[in-house]
Amino acid sequence: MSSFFSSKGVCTIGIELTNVQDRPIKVIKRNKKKKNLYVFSSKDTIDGVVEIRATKKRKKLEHIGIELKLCGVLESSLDSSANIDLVSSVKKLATAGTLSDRKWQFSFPEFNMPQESYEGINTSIRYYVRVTIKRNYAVNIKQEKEFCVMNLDTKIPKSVPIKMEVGIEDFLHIDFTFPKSAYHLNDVILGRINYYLAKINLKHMQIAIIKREIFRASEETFTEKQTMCTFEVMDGAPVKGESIPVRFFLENLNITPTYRKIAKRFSVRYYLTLFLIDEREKRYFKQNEIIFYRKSIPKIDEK
Amino acid sequence: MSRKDKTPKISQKNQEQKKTPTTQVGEQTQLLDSLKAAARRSGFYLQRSVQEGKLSDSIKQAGEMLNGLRSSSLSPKNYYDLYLFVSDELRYFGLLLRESIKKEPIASIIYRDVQFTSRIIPRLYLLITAGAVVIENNPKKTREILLDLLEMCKGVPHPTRGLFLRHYLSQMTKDLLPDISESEKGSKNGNEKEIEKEIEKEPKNQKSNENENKNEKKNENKNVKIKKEESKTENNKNLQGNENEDKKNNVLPWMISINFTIQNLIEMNKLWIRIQHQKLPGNISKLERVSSRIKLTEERKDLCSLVGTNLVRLSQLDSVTLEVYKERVLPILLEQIEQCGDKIAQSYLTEAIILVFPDEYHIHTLPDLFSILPNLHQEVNIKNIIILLIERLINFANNNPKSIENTFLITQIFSKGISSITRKRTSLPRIHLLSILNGLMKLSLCLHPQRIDFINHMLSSCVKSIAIQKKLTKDEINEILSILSTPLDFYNDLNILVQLENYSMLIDTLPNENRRIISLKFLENGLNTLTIVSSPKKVSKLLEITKVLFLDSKDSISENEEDENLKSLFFREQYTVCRFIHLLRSENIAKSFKILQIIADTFSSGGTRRIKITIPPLVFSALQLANGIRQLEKEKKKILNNNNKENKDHDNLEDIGLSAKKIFEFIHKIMTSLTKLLPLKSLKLFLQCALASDKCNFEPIAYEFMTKAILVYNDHLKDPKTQYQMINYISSTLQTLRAFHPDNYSLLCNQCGGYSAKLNIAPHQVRAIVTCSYLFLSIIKQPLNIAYKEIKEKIEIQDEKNKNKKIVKVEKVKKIIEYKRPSNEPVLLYFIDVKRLLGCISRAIRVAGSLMEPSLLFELLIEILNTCLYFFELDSGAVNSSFINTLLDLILQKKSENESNWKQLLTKPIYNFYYLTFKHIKLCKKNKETKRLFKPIKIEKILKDFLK
Repeated sequence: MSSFFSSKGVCTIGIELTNVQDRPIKVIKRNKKKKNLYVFSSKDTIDGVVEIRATKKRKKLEHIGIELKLCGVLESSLDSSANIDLVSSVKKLATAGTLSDRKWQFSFPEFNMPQESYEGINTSIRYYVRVTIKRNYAVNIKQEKEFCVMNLDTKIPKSVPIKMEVGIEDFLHIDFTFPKSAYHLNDVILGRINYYLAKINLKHMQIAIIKREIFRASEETFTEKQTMCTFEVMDGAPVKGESIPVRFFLENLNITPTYRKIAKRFSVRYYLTLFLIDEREKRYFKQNEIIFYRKSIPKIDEK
Repeated sequence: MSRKDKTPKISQKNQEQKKTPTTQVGEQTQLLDSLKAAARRSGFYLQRSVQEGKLSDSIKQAGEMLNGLRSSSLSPKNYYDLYLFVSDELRYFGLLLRESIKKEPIASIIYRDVQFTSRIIPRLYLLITAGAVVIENNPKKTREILLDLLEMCKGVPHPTRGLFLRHYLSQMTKDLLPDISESEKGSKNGNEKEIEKEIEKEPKNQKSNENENKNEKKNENKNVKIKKEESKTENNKNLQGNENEDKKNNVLPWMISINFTIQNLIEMNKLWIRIQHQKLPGNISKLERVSSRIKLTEERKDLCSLVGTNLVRLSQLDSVTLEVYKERVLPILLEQIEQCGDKIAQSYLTEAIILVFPDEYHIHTLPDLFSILPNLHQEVNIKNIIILLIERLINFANNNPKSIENTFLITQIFSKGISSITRKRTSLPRIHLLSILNGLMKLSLCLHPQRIDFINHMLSSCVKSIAIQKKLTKDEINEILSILSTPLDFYNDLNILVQLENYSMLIDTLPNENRRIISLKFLENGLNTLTIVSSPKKVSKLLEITKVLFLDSKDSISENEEDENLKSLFFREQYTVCRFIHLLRSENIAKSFKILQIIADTFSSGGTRRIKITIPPLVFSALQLANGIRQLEKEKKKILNNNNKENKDHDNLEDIGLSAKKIFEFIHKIMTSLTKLLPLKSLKLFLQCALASDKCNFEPIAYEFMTKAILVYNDHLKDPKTQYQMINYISSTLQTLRAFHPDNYSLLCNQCGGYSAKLNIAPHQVRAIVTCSYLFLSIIKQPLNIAYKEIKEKIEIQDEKNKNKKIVKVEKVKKIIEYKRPSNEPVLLYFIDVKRLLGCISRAIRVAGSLMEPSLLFELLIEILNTCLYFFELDSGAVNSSFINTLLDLILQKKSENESNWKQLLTKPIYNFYYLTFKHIKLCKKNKETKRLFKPIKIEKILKDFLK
């Protein structure tokens, strides 16, 4: 029960989500500790139990009310003041009085959670159920139970074929064609690289998936770039007229669906980038946004 | 598994790259060793993961191990070394994959998982390994996987790495390629038929058993369906998966294998060629650049076998039948060869195709093969390719005689092909063309030796190719010599060779010394095989071919050749010629004579040095012929006698107007040039001719020859010793001649006696005169009946021609016939002139008497005594007993005159001679038969002398 209850000195508060035996689990790593979160989707009903126990029986604990709040918060280390509740719902468990051992059952039926949980470098979206014991004279006592939200994209994003051309006049003319711009998270990126002119001595070529976290704090916009992976697709110099296949499995890759302008402030976007490296290690690149969406929720997501 | 990439070690790589051009061998081995060590380390971990059965760890370790193959710094050879090592280690990985595929039958998982590897080289090696395991586990996937692997391998256009990667692909799939198995053959037939109907071609069955199958099907219609179904279900077990798809595409399982292998071959060839065109780093000197290029070419050639394995694989597929090869394999290969435009690849692949596929296939695809040759890179050595093909075909034809149906066509294709090559490839070196023609000639000889016209045509091509251009090189000369030797060695029959009109034309293109070599070889061939050439036409061609040996020309060896080798070569040549002319003869006398005339004509322009050597054998050849004619004439006469001239068609000697006489006239003619050059030899030859003509009973001719001999003696012989020898020859010869009228005979005897008497040295004179004495008592040393018959015959022949002489001759002969020898056999006396005989003896004794040297005198006297005894014993009446007695007395007298130093003077042989002569007389006195004859001989004094 130690995981259930957490001691706050004067009392312990336990929050437990019920009806979760069939829920998928998302494993997250925070401060080098692994943590299993139950995965919910929007319009799911979130049921649970709250139990409070006073630890010091002789001393009475006065409070001015106990609240239960479910919320999804957009947090950013870049602007801590700007934490935004994306969704929230509050239930009053008790009015002012003396704390005594007690147990409540709660339920947030068909709760709307359009944004998914997200764990980024500077920015994150977290969902939790929080119990707050409000006090007049002292700091409120709080306890949270975090959970994860993943939403299946019922509507597959509009996909357009990608065609990127790399050209240096009279030296290089290559194009990349990918029939789709939208991929689900376990999808395979298939494409071709066609060479029309290659006077430059290319040594090899890679593709990379680059993630951009874009956060707009009051007046400034912060962009964080992160290379999710690189993948060598060619070794050696191509020859005019040749076409090289690209097959790249997204599975096992730590990527999320593309998020756009969450709370008008935050976006996560992915780009497919191609690097051409010549024999002097000079790099040429070209990139194009691709859209990820969620097609399925894995039973256990350890990524 | 982590998908995060380690950043490439750029800095390190840069260093490596700069080193590349100047990398020394030592650095290479160092690098190789370190890469191998790294691979060994990963290999160790890989094995451990494999043993623990951890798939994802294994993939990681295997990927790690394969990273070594990403190196750009190794030379191709060292890269190959590393490749072998790593691919060997990869087997462990394959083992694990096999295990896990058994546990978890979803094959696609391993095939997918290995693709997470971010580096392309390791990824593709793993993919190939996994692909092979998947196919092995589930043959339905063969087509899908093979196509995918081919496609994915395109990701490595780096020449060396790509080449090895694809080689690995070919290695891993070699046992997995679907082929026609025994059980499938039947069904293949069916399927193929369907396909062929679709592409509107008549089904052709290559194998007889298939044909049988077909017939069965026709006959037993009911069973057909069942059979088909059966075979289908058999097929389905293996190939259900792709069958529908394959059917749509008209692709049979075995076609996949062929297409796959060809495709891989094409790609590998491209990569291989690209090694040549790799850009070198810009920071090296020109010299380094050149040497690097050369090195690169060398290394590239080392790698050819990687490309070649695909061809080998194709040839191993049972499904590549002749028809499949012709329709679906070769055209693609040839197109590729033609298009790639690379000289090394073109020559390697063409040669490899020739070597790898059965010769039978080549025979049926020759036009296709030839169609690309003219279009190959100018520097491709077409010669080697064609020669290789020819050698293969010859070999095949020799091992499988009668298996080639249309030999004529094959040669024609070759011939056409070669002429189109010469037309299109102006850069084809003359030496190559010559080699090709040589090869073609060998092929033609092998396939249809009877087609001499082909050989002749090729010789003419050779002549044409030489005609235009500059001086021949040493190699070209050797090639021409080889071309000339080819038919010679093959036919081993000069009669066939002389039918090659252009042979002598080709010989004429050579420098003199080489012409002599081949001409000599020609003659020696005739001698070794003892080929008789009997047609005058052929003989004159033969002499035309080898004329360099007969004709005097400026650059032939000079008279006073210093060089011993050249000198001996000249003699060897001429002696070979001498031996050779004896092979030129015919059963037909007229032809033989014609041949002799041709030879004589040819020899006449040979200059004195040659004539000296070559005329004598020619004379002997002619004498032989004369003898032959003589025999014929005899036979003819017999027949005439027996059949009363009824048999008219026996011989046509008279019809062609040829007689032995004519031959002798011919001999006389060719001899005239010789007398001044070789007096001694011609003298002997004249005597020989005299003997021969005497045998033929041509008195005037024999007389002429004898006169000639004496003339030569008179005009040309100055040395006393030679004179003595020759006069002996002349008189001995004369003594055996039988055709002469006694008057003529006696005339010649006089001449002999005269010349003998003129000899300068006394003992010579004595002995020569003694020899002459025999001329005057000439007997026929044959049994009487034969001798008589011979004489009679002669008389008869002379009867016909000269009736006046008849009586004289017969009388003379008859008169002297009845002499008897003391021994049993009576002999026929041919000529006797007692007076002159005694004259000779007396003259001999007189000349001997004038000698100052007692021992020599004594020796000569005993010789004379012996001669006299011979005449005495013949009982001819020429020498009587008193003459002998006088001679004996003379000997004793001479002996007693020198009694004092007798023993010093008398050498042992002379004494023995004396003693034996005495003993002979003694014996004859006792002998029953000769007792009477020898009775008057008095030997008492001598006996007394001996007893002293």
